[in-house]
Amino acid sequence: MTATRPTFSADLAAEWRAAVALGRKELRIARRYPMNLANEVLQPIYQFLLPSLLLGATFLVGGRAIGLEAATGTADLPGYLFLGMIVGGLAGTAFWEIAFGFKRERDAGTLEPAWLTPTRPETMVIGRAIGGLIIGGAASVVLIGIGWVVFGASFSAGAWLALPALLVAAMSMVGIGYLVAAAVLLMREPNFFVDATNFLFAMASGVAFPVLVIPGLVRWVAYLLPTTYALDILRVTALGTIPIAPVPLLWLGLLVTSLLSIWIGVVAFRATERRLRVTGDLSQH
Amino acid sequence: MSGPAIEAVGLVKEFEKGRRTLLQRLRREPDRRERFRAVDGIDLHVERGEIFGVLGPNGAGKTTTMRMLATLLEPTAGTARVLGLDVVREARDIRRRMGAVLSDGRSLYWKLTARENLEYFAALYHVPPGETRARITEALETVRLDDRADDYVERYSAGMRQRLVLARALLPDPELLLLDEPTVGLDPQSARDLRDRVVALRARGRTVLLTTHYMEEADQLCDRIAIVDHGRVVALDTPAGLKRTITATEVVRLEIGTPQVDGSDKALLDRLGRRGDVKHAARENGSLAVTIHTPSARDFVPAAFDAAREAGASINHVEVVPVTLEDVFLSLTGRALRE
Repeated sequence: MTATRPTFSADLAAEWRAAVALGRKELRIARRYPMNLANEVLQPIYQFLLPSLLLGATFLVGGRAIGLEAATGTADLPGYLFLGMIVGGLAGTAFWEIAFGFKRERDAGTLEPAWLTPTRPETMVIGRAIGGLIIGGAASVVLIGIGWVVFGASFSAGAWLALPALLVAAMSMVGIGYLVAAAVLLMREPNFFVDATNFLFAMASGVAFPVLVIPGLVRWVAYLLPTTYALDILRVTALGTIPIAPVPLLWLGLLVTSLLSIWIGVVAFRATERRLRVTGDLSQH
Repeated sequence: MSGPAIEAVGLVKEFEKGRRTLLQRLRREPDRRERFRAVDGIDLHVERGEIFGVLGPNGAGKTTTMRMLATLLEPTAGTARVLGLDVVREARDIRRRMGAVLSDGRSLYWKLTARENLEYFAALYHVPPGETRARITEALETVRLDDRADDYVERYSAGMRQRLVLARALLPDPELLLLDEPTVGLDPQSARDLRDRVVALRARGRTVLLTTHYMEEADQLCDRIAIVDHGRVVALDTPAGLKRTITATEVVRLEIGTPQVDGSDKALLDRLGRRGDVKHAARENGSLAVTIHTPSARDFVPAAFDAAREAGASINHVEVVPVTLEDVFLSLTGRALRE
């Protein structure tokens, strides 16, 4: 029987092991539902990419997306959309794997026993992110391959230079995950909320069209999202598109909005956790 | 380690009924929701190494009390110290040293094996990596699931899942175990098996706090019992001590067939009351079920037959039993445990 409080570094290491264990648990369960796993890759293709590509095809002039080229600097519609899907997938991880995962655990009755352990609830968000981002990352690689081989998307050899932007965006998704998880934990039935906000978030980030076509004030919402900057950096690097702002500014925007999202997310999540301990709603929705 | 395992003083938990809508919040309307007290000033003192039972009917406040002690719920008022630590300010430190079973077998991952479930929770309990394998093996052996450790939980029976939930609570090698209705929904064999595990844990020096509404379970397992009703402790003693509070030595339960005429039940109960202490009477399936405490069933039963005959009723069933905790509860609250 242990009665001493662990040191800070020992506690940090234990929290990290807990996060990794949560991620591993998610991967194990995902592996046991192979059809669901396959759907992670296929769903964005049939729900988003194909309709967008077919619609875009009706506007091609001499086989070229002239309008897209004029607006963004690239006529590669499949490449443009596939990169949008990658970032859309990141957002989906935050909304569905991280945040909505809490609802699934609460419904299954596994959330409460986890909150009875010394692992901090904040760490559980990170653990969910590890699992979600590994699955999402693998799905993205498969998507890129499908885009390249099947749809003829052509990415520049230097596209990998955008990887750091994707990594920062992935970290910012942990912040968004905290924020949405806080809302999910306060709601009885958060499906509609998660579905609607995930869609709006992805659209505002410019996954399907340039953010510059978003009208008026709504465009400023896009500028508050880290994914807007990450996607623009990705498209500039991989497709040579015209950036929405000078690239150093894009990086600054990405870093600032990522840090803000993590800070706001953690504050909201902690407040929610405290509230749940007062109201007792952790398992009673 | 010294001091009690649990020390709660004036523990209160209030909940609001219903919800405030977003519109009400935005309009800053006053909160008019009704508040109710699930726990209304509970005091508990649990010594280390004992099995302490909290006995009461559904809705008595047992589970809410457990959830406060388990640090899942913050008390509205009062204080509670678990293993010498404050349940609000030192919640994480308590969770390092406590195991809890507050839910049933549904709280496991059914698509994982028992071992995989325990590996995951061992990490959440901060079990050192070098000790994880041994702890899991020991926990599985304790609940006798070591031979099924690599089966998916979805293939387990309800009893096996409940034992696995207990194994999960043992992972942190806890000084204190909180068990909330651990045998609800289990078949008699599984329930007995789980009770045996709990007794074995006490033998290994663990403190166990359990809630139950099964009086036999409390009687068999517990060193001391707190009887709670309406969020308050109404009695606290050893099982034998509680039973001694009943002055009667025998309890007679009658099932009386009576014509349901206005006032006939009252007249009959008055007659019975002159010959014994009527503790409980309720209509069940067309009969009048009556519980009477008496110093001598041998004297009371013939008199009861006479009283029934005089009232135009007939006694269909007579049961004479020794005093149980059910009778203690009945005597203290005027209600049956399962009402």
